[in-house]
This record gives sequence, C-alpha cells and structure tokens, in this order.
Amino acid sequence: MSEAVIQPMEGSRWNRGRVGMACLIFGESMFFSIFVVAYLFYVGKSDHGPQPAQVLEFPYLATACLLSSSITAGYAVRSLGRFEYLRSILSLALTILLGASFIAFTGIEWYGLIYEHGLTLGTNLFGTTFYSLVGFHAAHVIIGLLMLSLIWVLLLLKHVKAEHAERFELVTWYWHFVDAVWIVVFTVVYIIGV
Amino acid sequence: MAASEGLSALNVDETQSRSWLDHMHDWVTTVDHKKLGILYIGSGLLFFVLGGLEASLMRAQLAVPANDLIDPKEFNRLFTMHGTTMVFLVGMPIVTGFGNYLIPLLIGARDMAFPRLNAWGFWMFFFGGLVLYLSYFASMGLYGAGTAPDVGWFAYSPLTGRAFSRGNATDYWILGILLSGFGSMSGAINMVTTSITMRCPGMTMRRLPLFVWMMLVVSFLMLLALPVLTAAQVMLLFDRFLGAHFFDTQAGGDAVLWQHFFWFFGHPEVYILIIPGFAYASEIIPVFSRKVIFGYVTMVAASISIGLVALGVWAHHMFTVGMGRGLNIWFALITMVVGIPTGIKIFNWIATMYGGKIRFKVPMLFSIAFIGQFLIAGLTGIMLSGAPFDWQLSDSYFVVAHFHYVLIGGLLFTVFGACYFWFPKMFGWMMSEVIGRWHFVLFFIGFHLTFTTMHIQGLLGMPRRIYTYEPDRGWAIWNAITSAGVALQGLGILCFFLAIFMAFKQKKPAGPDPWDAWTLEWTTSSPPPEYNFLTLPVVRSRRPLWDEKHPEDPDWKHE
Amino acid sequence: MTTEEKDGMELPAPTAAPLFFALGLVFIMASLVTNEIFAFVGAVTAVWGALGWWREMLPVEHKEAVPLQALAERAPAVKPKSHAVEHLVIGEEGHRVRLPLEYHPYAAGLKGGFAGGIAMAMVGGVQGLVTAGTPWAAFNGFASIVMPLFGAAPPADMVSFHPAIMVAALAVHVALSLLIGIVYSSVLPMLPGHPRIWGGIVAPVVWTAAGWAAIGLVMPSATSGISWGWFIASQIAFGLTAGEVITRSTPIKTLQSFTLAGRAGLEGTEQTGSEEEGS
Repeated sequence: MSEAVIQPMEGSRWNRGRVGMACLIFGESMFFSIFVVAYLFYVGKSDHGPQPAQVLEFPYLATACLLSSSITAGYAVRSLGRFEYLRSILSLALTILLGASFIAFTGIEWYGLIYEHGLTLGTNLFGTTFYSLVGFHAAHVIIGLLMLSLIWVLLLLKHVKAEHAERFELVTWYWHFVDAVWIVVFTVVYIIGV
Repeated sequence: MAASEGLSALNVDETQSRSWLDHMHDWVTTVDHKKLGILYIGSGLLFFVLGGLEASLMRAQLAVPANDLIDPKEFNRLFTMHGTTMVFLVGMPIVTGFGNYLIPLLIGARDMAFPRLNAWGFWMFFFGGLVLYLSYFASMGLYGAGTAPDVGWFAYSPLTGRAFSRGNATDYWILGILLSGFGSMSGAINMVTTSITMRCPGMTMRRLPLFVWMMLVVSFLMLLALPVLTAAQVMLLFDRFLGAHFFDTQAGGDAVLWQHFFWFFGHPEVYILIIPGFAYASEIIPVFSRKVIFGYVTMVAASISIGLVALGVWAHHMFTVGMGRGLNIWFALITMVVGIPTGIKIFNWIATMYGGKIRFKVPMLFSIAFIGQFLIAGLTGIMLSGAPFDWQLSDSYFVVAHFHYVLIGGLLFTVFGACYFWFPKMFGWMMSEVIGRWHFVLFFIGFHLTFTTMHIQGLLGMPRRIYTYEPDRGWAIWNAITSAGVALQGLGILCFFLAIFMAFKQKKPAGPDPWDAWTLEWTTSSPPPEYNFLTLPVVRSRRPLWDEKHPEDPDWKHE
Repeated sequence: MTTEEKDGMELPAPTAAPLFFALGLVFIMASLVTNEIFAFVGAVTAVWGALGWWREMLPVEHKEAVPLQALAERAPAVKPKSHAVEHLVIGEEGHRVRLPLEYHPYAAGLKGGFAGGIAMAMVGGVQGLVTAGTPWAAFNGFASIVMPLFGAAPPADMVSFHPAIMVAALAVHVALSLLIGIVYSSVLPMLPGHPRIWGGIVAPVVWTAAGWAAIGLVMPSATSGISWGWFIASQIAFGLTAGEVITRSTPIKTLQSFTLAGRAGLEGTEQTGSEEEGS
C-alpha cells in the first residue's frame, strides 16, 4: 500500500462544474423517470376520451430539430474553445433556432390536440400522463433555451471568451441531457404507447 | 449585494464592537459552510421542539382511555405535522447541517464546492418549513376545513385528492415539503462535488474519513430519492389544481401508484436519515475507544451496499395492500438482505470497542446506547420484514415503536453524541459533562419507558393514528407508561438546552483538540477561522493527527 | 508547502442573493394557497435574487479577502506525544485478543462438508434399514421436515422411494452440508483445544439439544417423527468426518506471523520471524 506519491487533486477531468452538473442531471433523470413510469403504467387504461393511436402522429420534424441541435451545440462549444468566435456564434444561433422550432412544433401539436381532439390534462389518464411528461420535457427545453440564449447574447457582446468554453460545455451537457430525455419520451409516448 | 473588491466593510475593523444587526447581517448573507451548517442544525433543533410539542400533546391525549383532551380532527393534524416535521424539518436539516459543517474540515478544504448554492439550499429549506407551519394560521378554507394538514405524513391517495381533502391543508403539506426538498438536493450536489473534487493532497478515497464516505452514500440516495418525491408531489398538485387523474380513483387512476412512488422515495429517505448516524458513531467510537475503526474497507463496502440494496425494498411498507405473492416474497427477502451489511457495521463498532481503552464521556455514552438500541430496532425491522408477521402488525404501534427506535434510539442518540462531540469545535467552549450525563440518563430512561413499552401495545393490537381507545382493551397501563416516559425525555432535552446555554455562559475554552482525536478538523482553532486551514494540509493516512502525534509509529506504516 | 499570507485569504463573498431567490420561489409557490399577489411579488423577488446571484458569479466570482486569524488565536502546531506507542506481542500476558495464527482454506471446509454429508447420509440409510426395513425412511423423514405437506402423507409413503422427494431432500442436504462445512473450517481453528472434539462431539450435541428444545415451538407436527438417538449419531458422524478432513488440510498462516518485510510484500521473506502485532 504505497502512499509515497502525493497526488494533487487539481487538473482532474472531473472538476467541480462537471461533477455538479452530473449530479444535477442524475437527479433530473430520476424526476423524469417517475413521469415515464406513470405514463407506461397508465398506457391503455383510459376508458374514455381520445386514445393515443387516434390522435398522435410521430413528431419527425420536431425530433429532427431537437436532435440536430445537440450536434450544433457541441460544435459551438468546440469552436469557442478554438477561438473561432464567428462559428461559435452561428452554430449557437442555429442551436437556439432548432430548439425553438421544437417548441413551436410541440405547440402546434398541442393546439391540435386540445382544440380538434378535445384532449386536455383532465380529459382522461392519457391526457394526464401525456401532457405532464411532454410538458415537463418542453419546460426543460425552454430553460435550456434561455440559458443558451443568454450565452449567445454574451458571446455577441464579447463577454464570453475562449476561456469560458468549459463553463459553456456544462450548459451543453444539460442540453444533451434534454435531448436524451426526448429520445426516451418519444419512444414511450409515440412508439410503445401507441 | 455590493460588488466591491478587496476588504469588505464588514471585516475592516475587528476590534470595533459590532451591533447585533451586524451579526444578523453576517448570518443572513453568509455563504460559509460552517455558518450554514450551524443554521441548518439550529433550525432543525427549533423544529424539533415544535415536533416534540406535537408528540407530547398526542401522548397526553393517549395517556388515559376515552380521553377528550384533543378532538379527533386535531389529533389527525398532530400526527401528520409531527411526522412531517420530524422527518423533513428536523432529520434532513440536521444531517445536512453536520455534513455541511464537517465535510470541508475533514477533507482539508476551505469551503464547499458551491457556497452560494449551499446558502440557497438552506433558505429554501427554512422558508419551506415556515410555509408548512403557516398552515396552522393561514389555511382556513371551506367549512374551516383548512388549517394544518391532517392526511398523515405519507399522505396516501385518494384521501389527498381534491374531493376528499377540502381546503388547502394538503396543499400546504405538498408545498412545504416540495420547497424544503430543494434544500436537501442542493446540499447533496454540494456534498458529492466537494468530497470528490476538493480533497487535500494525499487524501485518496481510501483515506477518506468514514464520515465523508457515508455522507457520499447519503447524498447519492438524496439525489435519487428526493426527485421521486418531487415528481409524485407535482402529480398530486396537478390532480388537486389542474384536474389531472394521476391518483384519482374515480377516473381510473390508481391510489396504490402513489404508495409505490412515495415509498420508493420513503425508504431511501429513512436510510438518508440513519446513515449519518452511522457516520457520527464511526467517528466518535474510535476516538473514545482509543482504537482505529475496525474494518475500514468493510465499513465502506457495507455502507455502499446498504445504499444500493435500500433502493429495492420500498414495498415492505405496502405488504397489506395486496401486491400478490411474488412481490411480497421479493420485498420480504430483499429487506432481510439489507440487514446483513447493517449487521456487519454493528459488529465492526463493537469490534472497535473490544480491546480498547474506553472513555465514557458523554458522546460515547450516546454512541454505546445507539449500538444496542439500533440493534433492537433492526431486529424488529427484520421481524416486520416477514410479510405474514407484517400483516398482523402493520399500522399498529409495533411499527411505530420500531421506527421510533431507529430514529430516536438510532439517529437522535448519535445526533446528541455528535452535538457534544463537535460543539467544542464549532463554538470553542466545552459543554458540561455533568449536565450531559443528566441529559443522557433522563433521556435514556424516558426513551425506553416510552418506546420499549410501545412494542407491547402494538403486539396487543393497538392501531396507530387512533385518537383514543376503550378502557377494557388492556392497553391503558401500557399507554400510561408510554406517556410517562415523555416527561423524562422532555426533561432530558431541557438538560441538553441547558448544557448549551451553560457552555456559552461559562465559556470553558475547548482548545483545538479537546478529545485527543485524529482527523483534520481537530487541527484548526475552535472555532475554526473562516478559511479553515491557513495552509492546506497534506495527509498520508486515515488518521493524519495520529501520524503527527506519534511520528515513531505512524498509520501509513500499517495501512 | 506554500503559505498564503497576503492581505487576507480569498473566500467567496457573502451575499443575500440566494436568500432572495429562495424567498421569491417560495412566494410564487405559496401564491397557490394564499393569494395571487404573492406570485407577482415572488416573481419580482426571484428575478432580483437571480440577477444578484448572476452578478456574484459572472464574469468573475466575487471574492473577498478574509483577514487572517490573529497569531494568538491560531491553533498551535500538533505536538508529538511525549510517550511512544507500545507494541503488543502475541501471547504476552494481558493480551486479550486471540487471533488464529493460521487458518484452514475454504476448500477444506467444502470437502469436509461434503465428506461429512456422505457420512451422515450413510447413518441415515442405516437408520432406515434398521427401523423401517428400507433405506429411504430416514431421507423421507428429513424431507418431511422441510415439506410438511409430505409429512402428512400415509405411513406407507414414508418408507418407499419417491424421486421428487429425494431430489428435494438431497438439495437441502447438500446445501446445508457444504455451508456447515465452511462454517466449521472458519470457526474451528479459532477455538482452543482440539477441532475434532469441538466439531465431532461438542457441536453435534449442542445442535441436537437446541433442536430438541426448539422443535416443539417451530414445528410441533415433527416432534413425533424424529428419533433423537439416530439424530445425534448422524450429527456426530458429520462432525467427526468434517472435523477430520478439515484438520488434515494444510493450514495457511495469517499475516501476523510474517515478518515486517513479509507483510510489506517483499518476496521470499514471508517466513515466520519475530511475531509482531500486525496491522
């Protein structure tokens, strides 16, 4: 049991920000998993009102937007680290646009569900579990968009520089997490539950 | 929130006498882990008094049969508020508080990883607790059906639905816990990040004090379980405010789903409460046995196993709900399995004491009592894990006795031990041994009068949460003894507060290391300076102070 | 080791921003049960707190210099104790801990348990032949303890051969024999005196006595079926056989009988030197 070498703790890949964000993501995953469990538990158990197969259509466009926004977000971080500010600004803008499009598509879908099919949170079990699960996900997307927009504005104002790339990366971790949750959500809602 | 650089106005002239407003400002704006730790513990003790009053009223009502001191509706509020207060507003902040105070000191760091998040967490907890107690005053609703929540501390559906709980009482329960839960979660993030990334040079994970290891397990459980409760409570809020049907049996929802969600949180929660008790015992017992802890690696492995296995046992709170044979068998077996690593820890504490030179100071008295009492608590738990046994005794006073044995006989005793052990470090004054012994003896006798007897009422069939009982049941004598014990416990706790008061009055200086201990917090002055360590320590073993005190036989030769 | 004596130690500056942010969030949630006005008050407070918090962190973390403790208040350096640590020697007077100097490998326990199980089964077969005319009677009796439904079967069943019952009984018997064998191999060397006496005589007697005392409580229906003389005989057969196998296995020395160099891991130096109290 040699202890002759004294290891300094700095310089490890897992610094405070990364561990903290990993813990937050872990906690949020547990939060979402309960809504997923409730959704799966109540699949097929609504005895009245609109059913998933009747009213749901697979959200191809929305999914494409959100998943590709992860790629652009990653690119934005890497560009920033390489001092390529213009590329970073552009790809971050694209990320925000794609994320906003996702929200817009979700809004359109919900509009149709509420006004054309009469499905609300209180209609039946499907409505309850659908709106809460998809809604909380959308809320997290919005929070992510707010953070990304803030960074974008600061980038434009030249307050965010290459040395901040690590902190920016933490926000993109959150964004990737939101994407991963979407993969679970659309699998559960639009594939398994239909 | 002034953004000034350099020496802030507060610290310019230490010799000038500072008004109490200045002190208040210090405490209200602090981001220092030590002050926040003391705030957490202090608030926890404040709510402890409130929860204790609620318990005392209940026991006064139950002391004699057919009593009419408290009416049934008020009694429902009392047991709900007592349970909710003790679990969420006493247990959680006290464990978070000790963790906050000690972890940076134990690992040789200057503060926690996220000091402002730490402060936010405390205030969320504190304001959340105030919201819960606001219910006594503010929630008068339909038919006066408001006031404090009365649905039990685990708030089963469908009782908590809008249809059956009118007014806002249940909403206060939800909001109080929801908000204060964020405090615990931010504490957990902080503790994990600090323990992993801010250890001083030389402190590998194998040299981490057991306290820190166990708080790591606790934080993992907090991060896993608290969001589950948050989600379930949000679902309940949706049911009550937005017409959702998560637990609405009249619309096809499933009330048992709430139970699964709640207990998936609830069981890790009780481990979140007790594992810090293990942490305190693991630091106190070696020091007062003058021996290194027996089986350090096994203790770490056992703690991790307990944390992992505890995730699988939740439905042992639901044996009477009708889950079917398969699930009943699984949960019974896995509950028995979790007793194994726990038993290993008990053996290790005893083995630490065996062959040691025991100093029977007050912290050690509480820790020794903890070992025996926790053992009994664990055994009644294993008894209850047999589903058919539980079918007879679920929701009886046997269960109440079991969990009070764990939480008071286990957690509270170690918390008292920890208070006497670390108070000198926190404030620089020794607490009186004499008053401490009075505290211990009175509380010990009172505790056993109340809770050992309570097993008997349970076995005789007395259900929990009843506000009175008939005289011919044969329960009267046992209830009388149980209630009598409360008086002694109250006296004991008065002694505790007296000891704290006298410590501040008599000001017997403690010095940096009054107990001749071995971990890093005892190298600082008492109380420590705000920055903890002038120079960050470098460690070579699990007991850095032992190495310095005994350079001819340092620990790193043997580890 | 560098000291950081500057104008003071840099620490995160105190701030009330997190408090305001918390208060704001609490007001917003409390508006659900009080009045909508709290939602607005809460939103304003929360935003104020959030902005304040933001400014504490970005662009640079707001720190303040905390003055160092006055020299008189600082904790003195830790002094080495004036007395040295005394080392215990095993066997020294007053040394209360009895550790095994050597122990037996688990494999020996498994073999011992296996052999003991065979011996026990042979006694059981003899018991069956002697008392009921067939070797299966004792095995069926054993099975009836673990499967009470079978025990209620008519007596003719108890003396004939049932494949399923035999499999069940065999499974339990093998599992228990191996387990008890491992327990024996771990525990026996730690006890003073001879393992053959402990394993062969004392343990079976104690175990039988405990079973005899407890069986009335645990399984009243089984009391009539067990003949205690044969029971003790089978236990002693197990114990003597297992004890014999275990004692004959090659013991392994524990670490404390190694020299310091041996314990440190240097090859070729493990042999027993002066017996020093180890880690």
